[in-house]
Amino acid sequence: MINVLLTRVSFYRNVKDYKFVPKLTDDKAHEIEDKVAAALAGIMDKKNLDSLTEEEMKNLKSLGLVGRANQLYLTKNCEFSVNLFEDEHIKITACKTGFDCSVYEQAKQIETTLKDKISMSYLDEYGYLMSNLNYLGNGVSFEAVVNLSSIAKQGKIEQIKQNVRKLGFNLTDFGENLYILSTKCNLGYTETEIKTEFEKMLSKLVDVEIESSKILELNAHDEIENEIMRSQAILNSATLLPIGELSIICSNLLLGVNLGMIKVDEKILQKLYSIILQNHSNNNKFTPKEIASKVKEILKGGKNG
Amino acid sequence: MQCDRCGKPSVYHSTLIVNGVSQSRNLCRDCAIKEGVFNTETSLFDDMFSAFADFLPFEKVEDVTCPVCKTSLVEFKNSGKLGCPNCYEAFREEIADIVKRIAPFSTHKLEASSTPKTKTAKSSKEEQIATLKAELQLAVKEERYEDASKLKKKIQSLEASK
Repeated sequence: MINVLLTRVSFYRNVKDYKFVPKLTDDKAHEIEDKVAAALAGIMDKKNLDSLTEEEMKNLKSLGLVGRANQLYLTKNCEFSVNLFEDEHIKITACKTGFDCSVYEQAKQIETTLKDKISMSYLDEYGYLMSNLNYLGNGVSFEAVVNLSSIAKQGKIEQIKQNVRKLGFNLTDFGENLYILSTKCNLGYTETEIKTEFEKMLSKLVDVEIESSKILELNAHDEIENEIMRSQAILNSATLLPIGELSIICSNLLLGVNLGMIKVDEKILQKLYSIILQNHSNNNKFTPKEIASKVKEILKGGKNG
Repeated sequence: MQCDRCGKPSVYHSTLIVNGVSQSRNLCRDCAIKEGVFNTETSLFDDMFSAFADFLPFEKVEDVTCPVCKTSLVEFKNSGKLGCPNCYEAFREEIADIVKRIAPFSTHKLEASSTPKTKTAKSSKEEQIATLKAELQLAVKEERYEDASKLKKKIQSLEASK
């Protein structure tokens, strides 16, 4: 599913016998830090956020692996993180580019490790107890960033949002023709059920997007083909590329691939989208020159294999 | 528009519709005062208010506070965040109402292979009783006798259902 840019799973947990984050004192927070450090020793490295380079921070933020909290544990491949004291005591996040729900199994391993060593706050009635009731139950949330530019072009995005909401999910604007599909409060469902329903919903959404692309093409084949070819040419030759333009180009390339008009390496598309994701989640935005330069590097890397 | 009584320019306009029949009145300031429209002791609004008082559901909101973390119900409603696990007991009814609105079901469903560290309902109940007993001691010590009485009743009902 080339339209899915990244898939992310988060587990939220609170340590038993401690107040939640809004009422947690500093000394109790240190106790929780010590427990988590002991549980993750040898599995994940504690990171001092100040020691990360700007590029590393941008990348981690774009993947949603680092948030507002200042306590961070990362695996060596930087695909999993454990954040402390964000919304809840512990937030375990796993993220992969593209559509890849194996992130659930991988994040689950970390969650199981922590759960075996630290007692978590839990009630039979409500599952894992949370400060934020939206995470009640299994305390797990699934998210995917997905391109729905064809649906948006047809003016159907609000209707799709409403339908998605009725089915127990959220579809929110991410910007640049991108949207986040996420699970809502899922108390009463098992983790497996949530994962299955999320995968189905995501597949359905992508199917609707591809159908919309075909309808767009049927109605305006020449115009669509022209836009796609122009986008390829601009990508290959631009020396200044504003982020908005890059987003339109990427949407057109996706459209071209989905319609079978062009062939683009999926990895190259993912790397182009990573520029958009990094720009979106960071305060210091890329300049058009920086974006053009990054694009050149990506295309060069693609040619070299 | 002119005053219905004296013909001066009117400042007060009212329309009363009874059984589909509309009656309009236009009064200047002096005639309006004479008719008691601008009564200084009660305003028109007060009269409307008292007339409808029987039909409006007024809830007296009691501000409950969690005895452990001191989060009040008002604080919870404003911030949307609970302060500690005991808040689930302190705000039991309110949380149940919220859960009904936001969640597909009102109780947790366990994965067949997934068990939390605190696994059985029995051990969970015993822990609840132990927590409540600790809170009861604290409430008595701080002379919060009303809270203590409520905690005692909860402990008794949990012990009865063990």
